[in-house]
Amino acid sequence: MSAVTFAPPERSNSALSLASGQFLGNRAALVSFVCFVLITVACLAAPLIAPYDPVAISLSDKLQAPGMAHWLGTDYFGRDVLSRVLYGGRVSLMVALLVVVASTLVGVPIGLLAGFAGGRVDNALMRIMDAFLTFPPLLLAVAIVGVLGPSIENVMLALALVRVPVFARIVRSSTLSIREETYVKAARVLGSGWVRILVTHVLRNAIAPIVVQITIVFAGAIVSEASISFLGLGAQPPSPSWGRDLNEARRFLEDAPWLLFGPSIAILVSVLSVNFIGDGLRDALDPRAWQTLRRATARGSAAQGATPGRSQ
Amino acid sequence: MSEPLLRVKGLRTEIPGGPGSVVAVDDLSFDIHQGEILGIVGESGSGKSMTALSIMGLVAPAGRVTAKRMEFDGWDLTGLDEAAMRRLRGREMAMIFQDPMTSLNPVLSIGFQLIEQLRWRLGLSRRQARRQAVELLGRVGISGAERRLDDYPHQFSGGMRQRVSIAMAISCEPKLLIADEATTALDVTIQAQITDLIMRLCEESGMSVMWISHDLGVVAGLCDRVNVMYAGRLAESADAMSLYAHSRHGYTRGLMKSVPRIDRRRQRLEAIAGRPPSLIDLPKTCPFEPRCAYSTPECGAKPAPRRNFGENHIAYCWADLPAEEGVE
Repeated sequence: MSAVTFAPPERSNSALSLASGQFLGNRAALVSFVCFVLITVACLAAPLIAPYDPVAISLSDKLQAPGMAHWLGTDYFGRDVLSRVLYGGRVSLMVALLVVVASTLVGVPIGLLAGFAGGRVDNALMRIMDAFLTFPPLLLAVAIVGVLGPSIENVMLALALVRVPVFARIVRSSTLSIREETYVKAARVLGSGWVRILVTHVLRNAIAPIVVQITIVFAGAIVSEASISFLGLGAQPPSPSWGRDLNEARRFLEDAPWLLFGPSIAILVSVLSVNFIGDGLRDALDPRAWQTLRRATARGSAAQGATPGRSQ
Repeated sequence: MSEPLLRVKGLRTEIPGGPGSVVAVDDLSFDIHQGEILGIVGESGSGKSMTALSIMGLVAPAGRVTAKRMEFDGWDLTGLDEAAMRRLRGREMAMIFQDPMTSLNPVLSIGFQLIEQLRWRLGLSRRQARRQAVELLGRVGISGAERRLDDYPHQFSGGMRQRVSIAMAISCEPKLLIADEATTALDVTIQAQITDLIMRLCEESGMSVMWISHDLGVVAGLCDRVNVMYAGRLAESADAMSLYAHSRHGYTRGLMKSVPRIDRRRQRLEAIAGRPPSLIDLPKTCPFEPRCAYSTPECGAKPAPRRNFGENHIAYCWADLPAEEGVE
């Protein structure tokens, strides 16, 4: 047996460095993060790096297989698929990002308030949220877009609205259990007001489920935007979007299956990487997980990895 | 004697519920003087914690607190609104809890929790607050305080966490510290360290302590005076010496007999027969009467009288308890 040293682990003074250390130590999260950044940068830089105009029609080049001229082939109108994927990402990622931001910003405070206030406030808020949840989300989004008119902004609004109850419910249930914790009681007897308690104690402890939900919503928003655009209610042709292009590609499944590759791989990779990033973030934001990491590093036996004592 | 720090008269705390409201604390009166450590003893559900929460103003909205008088350091607690109470909490009165494992926020470093409290309550700058936090941790006996400031609660042992909780509670130098079963979850040696710490802090700062416990041994060693509570009412109140030497209430007697003693090895422990009564619609007579070994005919008929037994020793009891039964 090799000598095991119990030297105290290196102490760093900043929580940020510990958290980022934890995140960087998670290989899946790290790779996903790099992938996601590459995709985002590529999409943002589309005007600079796209080989063709994404909407330029060239019927003589239609349905070409991937080759030197068109790396991912061309679609029915002879438009370059790679260029469309790059430009489409701008729409898809932007929609997903804004949907996540908007639904989090609205849903989380509603959940906090409902869970903490309890009683009538809770009932009123959550019944409204339940009413939203009774509709199939896509149908509700379609209805909203139908009323407000088809445009990508209205799609974002509709998708965000549909996701608000999801956040509200998750945050409410976390709040209900966290508010009973002794440290919340302790904060009260030391004179903290409820806003302070909600922000420093409740929200800070509810971050894990919120982060996980964010990744789920982000992934879902990309797919939903695709579905709505497919119905002709979102991104208007000829402007590109991953989902719309994917759905268009279905028509040529037998003649030009390569049309699927670009948009579907783009969706797959970005959704998957967001999920892994969320996983890594969740661990990085939990100080109890740092302990495991430190201990594991100190003993040099990460493989044995004791599970962190959640109950503590 | 000078004005007490806390004067409670006729405190009544009611929790409305389905079948009838639960009277958790009924007609309770007591004082706490400056620098005094008052023990509150009683079994589970006897209203000890509810008394503490009533004083802190934390029973609402679940329950209703009324009192003839409730004065703290010149403040009339019965007339204060929530905002005013909040200013008192933490600054003038603070509280620590039983479970040191859960009374600190697990995702914030203890330094953050301490410093935030100091900056926000005392308006200190970041640097001042940090220096103060280090000093506080030193005062409660945490070595290497500077280094440990950035550690998280799970990196501390139970006793250390309780010390951190105490540091948080005394950070604004409150005049009254309420300790609700503060050592119950700790093992005996740590228990002794914590009680020593509390005594030392009292001597240093003149802080008063309300020490809630069901451990007669700890109370005997720590407290100046002891209130024995039963079913939300005061049963007996006396100086610690006087209470342990000659208890005057059947319930106190019962409690003492149920403590194991090292000098009587073969003695069977005498448990108090029966269970505590339901706190809904409790009769006016002594609530302990059905379980009391010394009950007299008057006990079930008329409310127990408040009887004085020398200076600072009162008991609500009809019976004249025999002098000595090997309880000293």
